[in-house]
Amino acid sequence: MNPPPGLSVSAEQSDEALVDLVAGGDRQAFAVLIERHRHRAMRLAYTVTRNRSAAEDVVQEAFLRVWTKARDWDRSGAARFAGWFGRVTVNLAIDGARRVREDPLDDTLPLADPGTPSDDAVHAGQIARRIGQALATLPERQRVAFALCQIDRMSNAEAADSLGISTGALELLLVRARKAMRSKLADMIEAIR
Amino acid sequence: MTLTQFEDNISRYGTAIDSWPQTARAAALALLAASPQAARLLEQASRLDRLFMVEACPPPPAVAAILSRATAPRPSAWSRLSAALSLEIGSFSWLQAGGLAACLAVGVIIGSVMTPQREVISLALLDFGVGAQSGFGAHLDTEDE
Repeated sequence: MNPPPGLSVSAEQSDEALVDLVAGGDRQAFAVLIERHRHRAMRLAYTVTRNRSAAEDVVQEAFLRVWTKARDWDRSGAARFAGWFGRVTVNLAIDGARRVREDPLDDTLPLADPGTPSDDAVHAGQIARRIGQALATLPERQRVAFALCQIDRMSNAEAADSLGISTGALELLLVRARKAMRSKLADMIEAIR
Repeated sequence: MTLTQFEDNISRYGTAIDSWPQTARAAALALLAASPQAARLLEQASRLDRLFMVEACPPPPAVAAILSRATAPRPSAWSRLSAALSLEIGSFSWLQAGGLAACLAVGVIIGSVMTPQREVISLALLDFGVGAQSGFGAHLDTEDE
């Protein structure tokens, strides 16, 4: 679908077409791209860093890379923006997680609204806390593999490509991570209906 | 397919058996039909999926905030270096700078004055038959550093 008159972009345009426009300095296209991927980026960054402010920084930095590197985007191959962006976000999140370890005071798991917490909000906060604790115990590479496949819903091949490792190696990390998470969260898994 | 292999494949390929490789899919479906334990393993893994679907995640920064920060004019590398240097110099008092310069000057003077003396001492030691390879010579060198 063509964009409306006066606008360079439409919501139906592919990510790759938007990146082309962003390379030419098109802020509208960039805004559409941001809206399309910011929640996904935040979830990915937060899963890896387990820290709100660090995850926000990662999201900001990832989109800064999009803005500054769009001209270098490889238009010839079959590269997908989503895969590239996932890789950039995860790599930045890994660095962010290391900084968080060095400065653990800035830990902000999502908590229920401190005003008048409802049962649901308290429950969601408890779930988040337990998941955060379980994820934090995973070795970094397992956590990243888990984040890409479980949270970002990448295929094993896409995730392996994002991390620059073989699919077999990725699956090994994934098997260990998922087994560990099932074991650590066994009581919560039993309680879910 | 054994239960262990089935559990391993769930961890490897996820809970959607339809998306598993063709070779593993048929065996998995056959095991599921015959084994209540296999069905339970799949149910537990599916619950883990659901657990992550309900996990709260903080909201991302607003579109406008990301946009304005990413597209803000960035200072050149040279101006960033200048700013960093001026910050460093700005926090460095003139007293500290003077102290550092004085230390440097004293070091240069002592070095230039002491070098000939060391040579004289070395020559004198050679006269007494004490070579540079002796323990004393090595000790002198070490202490001098």
